[in-house]
Amino acid sequence: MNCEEFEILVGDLASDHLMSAVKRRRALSHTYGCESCEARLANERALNAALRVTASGETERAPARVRAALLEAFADQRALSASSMTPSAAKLRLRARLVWAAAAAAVILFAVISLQLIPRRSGEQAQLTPGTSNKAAIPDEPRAGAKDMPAPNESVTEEINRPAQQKPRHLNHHVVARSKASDDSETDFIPLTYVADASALRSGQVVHVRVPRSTLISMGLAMNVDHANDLVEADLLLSDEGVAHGIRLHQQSRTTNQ
Amino acid sequence: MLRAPVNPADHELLRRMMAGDAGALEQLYERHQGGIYRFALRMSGSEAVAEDVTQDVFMALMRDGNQYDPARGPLQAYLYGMARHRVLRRLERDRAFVSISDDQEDDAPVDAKLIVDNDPMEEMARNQTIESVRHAISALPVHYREVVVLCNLQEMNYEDAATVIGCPVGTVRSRLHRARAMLIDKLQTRRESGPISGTFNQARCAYEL
Repeated sequence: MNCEEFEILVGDLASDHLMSAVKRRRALSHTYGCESCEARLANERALNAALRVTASGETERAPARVRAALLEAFADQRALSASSMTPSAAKLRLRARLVWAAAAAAVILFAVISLQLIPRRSGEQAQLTPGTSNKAAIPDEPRAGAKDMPAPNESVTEEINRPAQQKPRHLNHHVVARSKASDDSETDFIPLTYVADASALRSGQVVHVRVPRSTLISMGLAMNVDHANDLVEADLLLSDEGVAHGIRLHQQSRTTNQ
Repeated sequence: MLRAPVNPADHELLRRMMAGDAGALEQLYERHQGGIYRFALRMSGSEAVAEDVTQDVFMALMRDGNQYDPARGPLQAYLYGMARHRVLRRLERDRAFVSISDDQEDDAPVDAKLIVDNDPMEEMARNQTIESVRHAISALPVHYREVVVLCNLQEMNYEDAATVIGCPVGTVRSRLHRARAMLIDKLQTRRESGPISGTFNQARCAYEL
């Protein structure tokens, strides 16, 4: 064994680490004939002894205030997490309640709309059937919304005489058919609202109503005061949302009105 | 009736601590605080830094204990790794604690000096040895210092030390070999100014590291 090989082993040799008996014997034999490697081994052993003494003196501990601070921080952390969990649970419960309330509201709304639409559709179909009477589809009382109809900007005469291409095109097919079928007895629809998008009224409902003659004033029509309480027959054009977009007076009512 | 083990494993204590058991934190702290504190003390040479690092390590364990992966090593190595990271950061920030020159006296109080022994002379020699070795260790470059502190003072095995440092075991071995040679040189120099237990010969091998 030469000095270089000895240097590789000197640490394990000085520390009495596990090594083969042959290597150990050869390393020790080398020190017998090499004073420098003998001193190297002695230094390593002295260092090991000094490090062992130093390690045995490693008795320092963190000050007690560190432990106290940690335990206090731990308690604070627990309290904080506990308090932060309570609002979360409350939020979850509130969210669940809102979901259920929204679902219930949706069901109720769907039921109300269905109940309102089914009779109207059946009534409309009855009106479109040749030879059948309109009476079945006509509500006995005027719709409440009819009294609140907004006044049109144009007079009835202008509306009636308006060319066909300028007239409202927001009627669905069966409404148009109904309009053509009754040209002799009815005016065209007088718009009650301003619809920017004509496609918004491609579907709707026509509801036959009787309204007090006095409500015609709000539409800019002349009225005989003596017959203010008389009822006139009209068709209301309702959107799917139930908003009245137009009104069509029956010929008799219009004539009477004039 | 089943009884809880007297000395539960670290990972069990950690699990209980993360579930809110303050007693588990106390046990973990008592088990590891000394080593962490002394590692930080030997690495930094400052009791204040060692105190801060110890507290910071356990605060981090309380906060991020779920990030510990037992597959990557024992909890002790995980804690030492956190301590090492914080010490190195402090040393980077405040280099006043890094290099202690050989001629600078270590004025930090050493508990070992207070140990009373039957033979005052022997005790004095022992304390001088401890002081000299600590001084020599503190003068080593950081990456040599840490392997000596971990493997020789904390008596950590090479595998765990490699986990703490984040390097191969072979690197730990080679650094430790070089660090010991440097320590011998420093102690030989210091021996001329005072008695040190053990004999450090001036003779050097022809093969120098």
